[in-house]
Amino acid sequence: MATKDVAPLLAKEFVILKLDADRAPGAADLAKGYQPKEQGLPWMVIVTPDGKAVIDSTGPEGNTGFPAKPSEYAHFKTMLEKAKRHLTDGDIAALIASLEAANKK
Amino acid sequence: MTLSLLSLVLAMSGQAAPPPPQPPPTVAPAIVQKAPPAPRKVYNETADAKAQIAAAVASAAEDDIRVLINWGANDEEACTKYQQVQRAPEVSSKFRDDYKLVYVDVGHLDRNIDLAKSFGVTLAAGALPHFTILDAKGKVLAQMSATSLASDTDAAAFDAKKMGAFLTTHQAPAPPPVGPVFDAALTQAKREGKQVFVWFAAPW
Repeated sequence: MATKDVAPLLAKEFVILKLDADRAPGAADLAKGYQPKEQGLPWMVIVTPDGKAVIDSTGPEGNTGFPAKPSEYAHFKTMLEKAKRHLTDGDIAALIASLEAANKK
Repeated sequence: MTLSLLSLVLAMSGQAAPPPPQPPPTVAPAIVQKAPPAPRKVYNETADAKAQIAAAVASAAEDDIRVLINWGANDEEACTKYQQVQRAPEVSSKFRDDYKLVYVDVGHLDRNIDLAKSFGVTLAAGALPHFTILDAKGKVLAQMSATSLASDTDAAAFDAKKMGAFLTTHQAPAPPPVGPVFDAALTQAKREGKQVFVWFAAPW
């Protein structure tokens, strides 16, 4: 899936904030505030504008990191479904498909 | 650190999928003595080097780090020996965290020479590998030949500390503190009726 196709879908729902967990001052402490225990990287969390966690990338089998297998796709889908206010089921399906396609390259 | 859709979008489109977790760096002495050549061939002799560099610059821009181009050849003894420098504890984390590495094959000074010249590099026998540091926009920041890495006590050995100093001098500034950036993202999300997708990552 081309970038131009994916970007508008994500932008419907999220402000994306990528933080350098190793170098950015305060990143580790911010992560700890959302993690019951330390996770590997990458680790993701969706938060409300009030800073309250909605769901994170720690799934039933641990941190999914960058989703690369069915169980991880499933948890990423769960994340999107739990957080969605603007995304449609079709949008989520397209995003998951883009992940699968990326991993097949 | 970036505040944009681009990071995740690129990852989802397969252009910046994070690599698998890296193993801890192997401990090696700071002064690298002559050693049997490592078998690893790091210079891809058939790669489109220009495209490799462009991809590294794009990736570096994502992570706000810099690009280190290593101009060399697989059958050049100094290039093989240099690989140990990258494993030295003084510098291994810098290679992993602060730079996107690109290995450009120059053969017997008969490959990618014009490309090197376009980066201001004039390659010479006995001076490989040569290093070029680019910023995240592809601008040349610094050059150094491997001859500058020679140990002060053993001219036949590389001094990893000298490489470390070169990398430290030219590495990107640390990202700004997270607090204000996070607050700005929350404010934007509130204004736009969205949520914040926080992605904790690392350049490696």
